[in-house]
Order: sequence, then structure tokens, then C-alpha cells
Amino acid sequence: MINTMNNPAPMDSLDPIGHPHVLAKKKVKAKPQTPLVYRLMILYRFVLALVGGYVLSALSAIAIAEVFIQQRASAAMSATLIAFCVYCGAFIWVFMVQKTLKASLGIMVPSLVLWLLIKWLGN
Amino acid sequence: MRVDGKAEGPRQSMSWLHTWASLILGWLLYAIFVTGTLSFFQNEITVWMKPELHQSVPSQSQIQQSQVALNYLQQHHPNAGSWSIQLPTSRQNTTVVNIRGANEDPRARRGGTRVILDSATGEVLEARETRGGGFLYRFHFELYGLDRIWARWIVGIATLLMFVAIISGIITHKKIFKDFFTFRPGKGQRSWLDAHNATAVFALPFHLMITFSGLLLLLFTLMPWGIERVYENRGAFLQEQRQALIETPKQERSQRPAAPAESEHDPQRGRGERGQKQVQAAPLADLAPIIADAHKQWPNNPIGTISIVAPNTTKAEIELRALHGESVAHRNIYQSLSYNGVTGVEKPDDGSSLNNPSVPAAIYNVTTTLHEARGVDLPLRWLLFLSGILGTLMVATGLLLWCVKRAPQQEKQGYKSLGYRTVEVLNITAIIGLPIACAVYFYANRLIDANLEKRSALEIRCFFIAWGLVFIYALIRKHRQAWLDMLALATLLFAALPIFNFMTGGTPLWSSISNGVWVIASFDLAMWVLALLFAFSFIKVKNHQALSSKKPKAGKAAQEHDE
Repeated sequence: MINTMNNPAPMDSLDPIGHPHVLAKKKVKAKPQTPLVYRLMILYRFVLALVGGYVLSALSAIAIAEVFIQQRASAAMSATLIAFCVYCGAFIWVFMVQKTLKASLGIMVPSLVLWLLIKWLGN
Repeated sequence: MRVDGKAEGPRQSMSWLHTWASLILGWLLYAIFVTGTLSFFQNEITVWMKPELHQSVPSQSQIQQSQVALNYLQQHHPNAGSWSIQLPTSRQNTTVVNIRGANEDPRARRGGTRVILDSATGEVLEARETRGGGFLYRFHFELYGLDRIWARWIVGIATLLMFVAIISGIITHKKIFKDFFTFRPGKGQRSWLDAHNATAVFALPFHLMITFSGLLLLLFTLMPWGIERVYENRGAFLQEQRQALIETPKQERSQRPAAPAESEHDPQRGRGERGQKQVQAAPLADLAPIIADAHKQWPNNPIGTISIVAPNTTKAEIELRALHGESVAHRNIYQSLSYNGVTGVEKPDDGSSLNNPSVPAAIYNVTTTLHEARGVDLPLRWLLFLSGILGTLMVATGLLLWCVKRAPQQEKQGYKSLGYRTVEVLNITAIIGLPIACAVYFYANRLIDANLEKRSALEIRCFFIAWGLVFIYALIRKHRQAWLDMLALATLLFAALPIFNFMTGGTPLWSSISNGVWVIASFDLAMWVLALLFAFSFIKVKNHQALSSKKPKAGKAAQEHDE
């Protein structure tokens, strides 16, 4: 899938900031090939979004169900509804953030917090 | 997500995400959209694919319809344990009766002997073996030939990416309202973008509903964790969700055991009593006044099914169930009335009433009921269908837009790069190949001998072979020529289907219209609408070259779905 991403030039032409013409020309001459690091970063982010986002949303479903266990029916349903929204939100977060590290932490830290919360509530 | 790592606004990064998240599984999403949209009318497709059933022209009156079914049952199965009669509807032109023995639970979902009757004459009809619209429906969420769990996960991930694409698309969009009223035809890339935006924004509530509920319908596969934490199994969860909707008064419940056995319609109890006391034969009450009474009580809801437990005995009970659901917020809840089967007197209802669902339950019920169009009447079904078409066009224009945007750059470099060519070929295979495969499926239904064994598997094989052939054709032909040829082929295939229908044993269009059997007529008419759509696209693509030779920068003019 990643192979099909040959050149982001069309993005530049949409970009209203800066001097798109100069930028586009320079890039075509200087870097006709997309660097491997960039491709790996994109691959990493997709994995992070799909797998990390899933872990985060599953943990949030468990946490919500656990916290509101008094209202069984509503808790179970709400947990599931919210979990899907969390998954979507996490996916978007991973690609909205500039720094890859920040994107990773944004998924991992909340997951850890939720996991601790579930452990704590479980006892 | 820029290669040079320069800072970019959220709108830029979301535009990138929208492009690539959509492209990865875009073709699969297109197939899910097409088969799903057709599934709104899976009954109609199945009826069309069983021409042996076409002769049945139901009368307008439900009293007469039930009389025909009753005559058959009294003649052939007078001593059955229970009967159930599914009356013809605006989506089904035959009567389906189900006969069960005395030892079977009359309210079980499965079991019994199913017989299809001509609604007017009561003649037993035997249809050919076919999966009909059910194949398309199953393909929609379980694909084909894959392990069920895997297939559901693949469809689930595609749905998630669709959800991400919708949200990122909305974020990308600054002027969502203004863009909706903007259409600039014949302006190449601009027109494609406008068409993509218009189809997306016009049916945006539908797209959000269908995508989110798509995830919810797969929740036991994708996200069972919250529910598993609270409930032991999914059955307990579903039961509690349903029970929360129906309020049974407490007094009534405590009085119940004391009430006379006659007003009790618990199947277990009814059967036990039958075993103890010898049940006397007794003539069944006349159905006509009962049906008239039901029509008075449900002025806007026709009768869907009539169940008769222990017919022709003193224990006989008649139960009517409404055709359309109570409301979309009350999933799978239908009104029902029960009558004494000997005297024809209505039984007092159990005093149960409907609760308003809680907010999360309401979200689940409304979105999933609409997604599946359960118990929904015909106008709403058409609205959902048309929204589904818009969704299909949104995915198609989006996929084409990817190529249109990159076409000038490809032209400049003088050759088509592998990625670009892959997308081109897959676009043709999916966007036009799938409709062709569906048409071939319909032809195969009529061409394969009706009595052949395992013919339904052969029909499906034809579907996939046709799809594969389009792929090979797209691979070896030039891009534009492949589009033209395939559009022409699709036009011919769909235009000829209604004619082919009556040549191979189906009801001709003129007689289905004059008899008012819209189940069959609307299928034939829809095929012609599709043929027109493909013909229109063909002309647009054909005229396009003349335009581009003069103005090479115009790109691909709005060719396909720009109305």
C-alpha cells in the first residue's frame, strides 16, 4: 500500500502557505525519490493508529463499563459506542500531530492510565 | 504528513489522511457500498430471480389473501400443531405459509415446513434454487469464501477507515455549506471535486449513520470488551436491551397465575394443558372480522403475519403481527393482537407498554434499524436506497479524483508509474466491473438450467468470473478505451435485462405494471435507469477526447456521475 505513495506534489499545489511553485520545482529536481525513512514513518503511524488505536479504544470500553457498572445496560452500550468514537479519534490524532513521538505518546500514555484504572477498579 | 517534515496545519494533514486512508481499502468500500445499497431491495432481487413466483398477483384485500391461504391449509394440513401465514406485501407477491407439528414450538424462529403459495389461486409454487439477493447481502459484510471472522474483521477495518475518512473529510472542508451549492461542470479536476463534495455533503447524515451503525452491527466481532466486562454472554446483553424497552406492569404480573388459562398465551403452558386434557375439535373462527378489527386498530400498518396455534380445536388462538416496526427507536418490536380462535373475541392485552429507550440504546436502535431497514416502509426504504446510491457515487468519484489529480504530473513525466497504473486498473475493475458482475449474475440466474443441482453456486461463480474478466480487460487495454468498452458493455447488459426477463419465463414489464406487481416492475425499471446512467457516462467519456485535444489542460471532464 505504501508503495503507491509516489510523490506528494499534488498536496503542495493545494497548499496555500508559502510559495508553492518554487517549492514544488525544487523538490522535483532535488528529490525525485521519497526517502525510506519517510515511508517507514508512515507505515509506523498506520500500525500505531490501527493497533494502538484499537488497544486504547478497547481499554476505554472496559474502563467505562467498569466505572458505571451500576447501570449495567447503559454502561455496556455506552462503553461500546464511545469506544468506536475513541478509535476514530485516536486514528485522526496519530496523523494530525506533527511529531511522531508525540503521536506515539498520545496513544500510549492514555492507554497506560486506563489500564492502571482498570487494575485499580478490579481490586 | 509532508516528506520534508515542514509544519502544516491540521487541515493539510487531514487532507493527506483523507486521501490515503480512503484509498487503501477504497475499492473494498465501493463493493460494500454497492452490494449494501442493493441489499435494501434484496427481497425484490430474490423475487425477480425466481421467475416461477412471478405469476402470483395478490388481491388488494388482506381478507381475501388470508382466505386463499386458509383454504390451502384447511385442505392440506387441518391437523397441524400450528400455522403461520405471511401475507403478501408491497415487497413480496406471494403468500408464505409455515406448518408445524403439535410438538413444535409455534413461536420458534426456525423449523416447520415452508410452502410458497400463489396469493390469488392458492397454487403451490416451487422456485428454482438460488441465493438471490441474499448473496449480495452476505457479500456486503462477510464477503465470499472467507472465514466469517476474518471477513468481518476486514469489513470492520474498512468501515473504520470510512469513518476516519468522513471525519477527516469534514475537518478538511472549510466551506462545507458553500461548497454544497457549488458545481462547476466541465472544469476537469474541479468538477470531480465538486461532485465528490456534493454527494458527500448532501447525504452526510446518511453516511455518518451508515458507517457508525456498520461498526455497531459488528460490535461483537470488533469491540465486545465493554459488554463482556458487564455481561456473561451476548445473549444476556441483548435480552436486557430488549426488555428495557417493554414495560410490563407489576400488578398484572402477580395477577397472572390466577387468571383463567384461556387468557394465558404462554406456549409452554398451552402445550402442557393440551397434553393433559383431550382437546376437542372445534371450527375455527372466521378470520374476516378479526382482520377488519386489526385494520381498525392499526390504521397505518398492514398485517404482516397471522399465526394460528392449535387450529380447529377448542384451544385455538389467532395472533396477528403488524408489518412495520413500532418505531426506529424500538428495534425489532412489532405490534401484535391475539384473538380466541373459536369465538374470535380479542384477548385482553397484557398491559405492557413501550418505554422510551435510554440514550445509548436509542442511538444503537435508531442507527442499526435504519442501516438494516428493518420493518421500514417503502418510502423510507427508497430514501435509504437513494442515499446509498449517493454514497456509492461519493466513493467512486473519490477514487477517480485520486487519478484525476495526479494525471497532469503523470503526463509530464511521460510514463505512468506503477502505483498510478494500479489505481487506474483497480478503479475500472471496481467501479464498472462490479455492476457488470451483478448483471452477469442476473443473466446466469436465467441461463443456468432451473433444475440443475447446486446451481446457486454456479450463479455465484459466474459473478466472480465476470468480475475477474473485467480486471484482465482493464489490465491489457488502454485506460480510456477500457472505460468506454466497459461502460458500453454495462449499458447493453442492463438495457437488455428487462427484455431477457420475459423471454426466460419472467413476467413482462407491461403486465407487471398493469397488474400493479411493483416488486417485479420496479426491478426491471431500475435496470433501465442504470442502463441510462451508464449510457450517459459513456457519451461523456466519448465526447471528452474532442475536448481535451483542444484544451489538454482540462483533464478528465466531468464524465460520470455529475448530475
